[in-house]
Amino acid sequence: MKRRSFIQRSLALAAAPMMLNGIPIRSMASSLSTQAFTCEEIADRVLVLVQLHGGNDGLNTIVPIDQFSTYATLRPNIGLPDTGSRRVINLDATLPLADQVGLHPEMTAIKSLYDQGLVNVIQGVSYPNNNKSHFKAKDDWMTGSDNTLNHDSGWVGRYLDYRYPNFPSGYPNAQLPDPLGLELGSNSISLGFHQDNGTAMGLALSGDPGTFFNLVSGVGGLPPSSLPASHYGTRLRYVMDIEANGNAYAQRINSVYALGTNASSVTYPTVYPGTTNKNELAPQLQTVARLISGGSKTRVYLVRLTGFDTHVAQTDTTDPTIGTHAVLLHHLSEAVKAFQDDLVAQGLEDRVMTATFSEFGRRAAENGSTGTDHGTLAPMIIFGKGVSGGVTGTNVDLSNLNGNNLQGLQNDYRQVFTTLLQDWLGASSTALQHTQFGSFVNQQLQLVNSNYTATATCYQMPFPIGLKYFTATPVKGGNAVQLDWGSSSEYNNKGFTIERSADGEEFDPIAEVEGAGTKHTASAYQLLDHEPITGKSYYRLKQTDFNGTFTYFDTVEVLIEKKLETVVEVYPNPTDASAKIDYRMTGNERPELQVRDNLGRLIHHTLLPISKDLQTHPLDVSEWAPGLYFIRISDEEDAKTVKLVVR
Amino acid sequence: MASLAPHSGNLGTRLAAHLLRRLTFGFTRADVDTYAGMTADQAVDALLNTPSALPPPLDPATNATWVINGPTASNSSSSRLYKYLTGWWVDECFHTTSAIQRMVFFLHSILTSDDGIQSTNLYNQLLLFRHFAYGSYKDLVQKICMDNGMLDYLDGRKSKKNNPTENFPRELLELFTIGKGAQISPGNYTTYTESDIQEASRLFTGFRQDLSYSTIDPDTNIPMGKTLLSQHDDTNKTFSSAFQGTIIAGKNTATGMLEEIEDFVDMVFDQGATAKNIMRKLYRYLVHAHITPEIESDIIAPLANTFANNNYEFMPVLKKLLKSQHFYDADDTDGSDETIGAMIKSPLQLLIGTMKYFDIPVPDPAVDLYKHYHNFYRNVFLRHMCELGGIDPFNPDDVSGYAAHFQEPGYDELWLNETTLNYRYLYADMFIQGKKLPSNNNLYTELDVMTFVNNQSIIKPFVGVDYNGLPGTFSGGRIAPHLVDELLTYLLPEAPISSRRSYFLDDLLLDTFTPLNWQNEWDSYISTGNDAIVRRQIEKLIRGILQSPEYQLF
Repeated sequence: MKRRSFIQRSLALAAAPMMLNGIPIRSMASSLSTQAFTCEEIADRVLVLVQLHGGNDGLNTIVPIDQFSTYATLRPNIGLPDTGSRRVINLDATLPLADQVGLHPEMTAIKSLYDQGLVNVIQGVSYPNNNKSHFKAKDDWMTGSDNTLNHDSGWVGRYLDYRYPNFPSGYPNAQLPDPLGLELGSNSISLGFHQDNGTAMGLALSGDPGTFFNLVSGVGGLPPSSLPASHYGTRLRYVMDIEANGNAYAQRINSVYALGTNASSVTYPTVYPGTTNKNELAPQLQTVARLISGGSKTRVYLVRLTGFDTHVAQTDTTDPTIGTHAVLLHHLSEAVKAFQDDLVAQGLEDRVMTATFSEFGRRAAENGSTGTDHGTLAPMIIFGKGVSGGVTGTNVDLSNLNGNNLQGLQNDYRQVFTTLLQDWLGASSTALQHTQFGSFVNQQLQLVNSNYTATATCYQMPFPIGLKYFTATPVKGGNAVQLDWGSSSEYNNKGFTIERSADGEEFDPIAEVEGAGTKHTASAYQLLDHEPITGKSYYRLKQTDFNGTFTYFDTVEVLIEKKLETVVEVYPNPTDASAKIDYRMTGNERPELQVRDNLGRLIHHTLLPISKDLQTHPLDVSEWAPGLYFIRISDEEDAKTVKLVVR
Repeated sequence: MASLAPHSGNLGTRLAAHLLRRLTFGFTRADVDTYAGMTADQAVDALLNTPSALPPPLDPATNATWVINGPTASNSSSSRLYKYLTGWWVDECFHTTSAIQRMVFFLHSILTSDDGIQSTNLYNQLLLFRHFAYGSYKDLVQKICMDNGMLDYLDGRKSKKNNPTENFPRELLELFTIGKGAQISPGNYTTYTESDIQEASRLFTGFRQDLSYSTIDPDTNIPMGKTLLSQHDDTNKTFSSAFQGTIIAGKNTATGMLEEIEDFVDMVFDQGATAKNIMRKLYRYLVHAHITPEIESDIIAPLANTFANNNYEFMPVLKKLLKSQHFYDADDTDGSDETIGAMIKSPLQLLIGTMKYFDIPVPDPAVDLYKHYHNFYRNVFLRHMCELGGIDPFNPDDVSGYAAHFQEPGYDELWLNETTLNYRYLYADMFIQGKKLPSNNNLYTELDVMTFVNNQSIIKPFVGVDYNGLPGTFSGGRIAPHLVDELLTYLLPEAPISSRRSYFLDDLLLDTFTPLNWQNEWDSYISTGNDAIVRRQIEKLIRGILQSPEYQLF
């Protein structure tokens, strides 16, 4: 069989008419309307990773049409048919026969996406001598490891660490109020989101979307879901409340979710038709769409469909087109289609690319339990408007097996992820070095549509400034406002402009402060506004890069109350039996009343109620000797003494 | 109805662990198993033991102790010595299973002091608290009046005949004994008045520290303060109607001065309020923060009677309380008032408990004194882990002690806020990584989870049928549900419901794979010696347990 090596981007560009990749004419036409993306738009892009957990049987997902009889011999009981109403779907009959693939009959939705040019099937993906342990293999895929290289951190985590240095110090902040990465369908954060020092760069969202989210953060796992009605339960609730309050992202996620929506025209699948078998993936993708729609700036999502470890009863014993694997592929196909439709309906499709992966494929031949055992190669499938539609690579050679294992690695999974990072998210080669994908830099596959491919001018630099806080506090008795702000790190930061407003809408600059340029450690800034506005006023911070781009941070509000004056008056004066004291003190502690005679002896003392409005306190002087008395009222702010003559 | 009636039958694992959590700072798996086979009566009697005293702490700067004669110029700075001594005290928890440390800390949290006093004085206080840990609180109060540390901490040493200081007598009444009642008129707090404080402050004139440590209390053999007759106000002291107008005769001899203290302490303890006040503190420390009217009448009042009728000795009331149905939530069928697991661990409880159960080693002083006292106890344990968690042991913020012990209405809830909880959760990462976080400096200890899981005295082997269908005795770590149950049963106050257990088992340990997958991984680890895969999953499990809300409670 003629074997074609994988197509690198340089090669693909040279072979400009992309028929080579088998893109149907109509999608070619739409992609000809060249759309230029700004660097800001590229910075806003999202990558959704779909983990097919357990090791997806690639050979029953994407069937090599050109070798159908060999396939049928290897899989007499579970092999999909090429005839009848439930036959495999020829994905693209325009491809050369050697490259033609048959989709599982449950994947009609993916076929329709393919026909719109929104799908690329990447053939023969794995890594050399892939590990067949679930635990090791899924960690390898998450960490960018292989059978000789072992990373303890995730490649997503390392990439995010480059883009957003010093996380979590200074996060969330005004520019990036959202988690950098979000994981759904999992009650713990996978290794993929961890950076080198063990910090999780993402969060996991657990629980039913739309009801209550349990946020699983870098420290602290999933809290218990039901609590006993005892003092123990009360205390558990207390700990959980503290945990939730301490999670800076909890409120933000809830508000973004509330702001967002799913297109009313789209119905996400809930079950496999005619059964109660739930589509586990659809609600996760529905949530992702809604968060993006609500304005989330989260960069990478990881969602998960479990159950692919099909050693036993992968298919029905009599009908290979139904059964466990068929249901899973149906779920995948329908969920991804609904997700894409939702994004399109909301005009978000330019921002999102989705990729499936699984820890390994399965053996070529079926086992004795209508199932398949752990294997090697499998296809990855990527979806989205920005995808370069087609099939990358060619069918695996079923007549050239290694024992019962598929062989002939065409695409290292890291090459696929490197392509997505570089061409889709705009990762520079420096960023990819940091991600530990350096050896795959500039070997991108033709996966991203050239209109969408991020170019070097738009490669994403580390985040310019991690603002930790910006506060405004009245000081000097309301005669000035002290502005404090601090950054955890700065890149290319020219400086700050402080702007002030009386109404929160029209702002005027009041001062400029030089930034630290590029600095990897924390900085603190302070400024005094000596001419503050009495009453309510607003301050905001504008940060400007050396290249002139600027960002506004959240506006803060400050209230300067009209300065109160201390009042102490005593009447009638002189008196012979009783007197009244009118007082007003400005402090927050109870004022003390002291009465001394003209020799300085303390005659009477008591604490008075706090009063910022005028208050009257009676004074019984009937037993005092005639003479001059000093009435002193004091608190922590002020003291005032008046004289009283007793006759 | 709450009841002090004795609990019967063997404790079993759940109640034995409950008793150990409340009565010690830390325990081992073997401790739980031992006490599980005992009745409450046997277990409590066994735990209320006094281990033989440890040799005094050593200063790494001199390789010798300083606490007998006081430090010299060649010793470490006084602030370091204070931490070394504290570390020495903590260290005993790792070598004994006894209620003694919990009681000593209880007494310290009432009769408190801080690192403004000399470490030598704290050492003698610790000896004093240990001496009276199960003994008479009344006798202890009498001794504390003459304690060098207390004379320093509350300024008694400065009290002069013509210028008495009120500090010590005020706290003695307000915090150490009778407690402050409602203010019913200016200067009258029901249980005592301002004039009582003034009278008492005259009584406590003329007592001084003896920093030569040559005045030895004959009852305890512990160094004490000394008298300075010339500065003692020897006139009569007349107390208010709160003390039935008692007159304590002024004395003008050194022995007479001590008799005045004795008379004063007698007078204070003769008031019923003192016994109740101390019993409420004990209840909050060992059972639960919130004292309802029912608890007040059914538990506090009878305990206070027992306390008063036994010369204020702790032993009888501890036995009564800790052997009671109430302590084991067995006094009624109303689940809503159950208190097992219903207290928040102090950072000290959390740290010592974790280190002891997981067998996380403290650097051996016999090998390296400096590493033991300075690198580990001072820099890691006390100044990093404890302080970030919100406690500075033996150095509370003020004379009231630790807010979580007394501050209404939150009490033990005050151990937690967003910051301290975050750091408490980081303890797990620190132990597993062997690093001080967030600085990444050396922790001088480490939790090796594989050593832990392979320790058969902590994780028992599984006896039964494995996932290949073979019967036998298998390493505990190999059978995933067994491993998770071995941990949860001992580390969480209450058994988790099935969905919660599934989180620990299926989400954390198995990452939703099957126990058979796990067993295969385990077998591959055993045959290759490469533990990378199983280690990572077990670390995830243990981290998840240590970072759970349940584990914050005891």
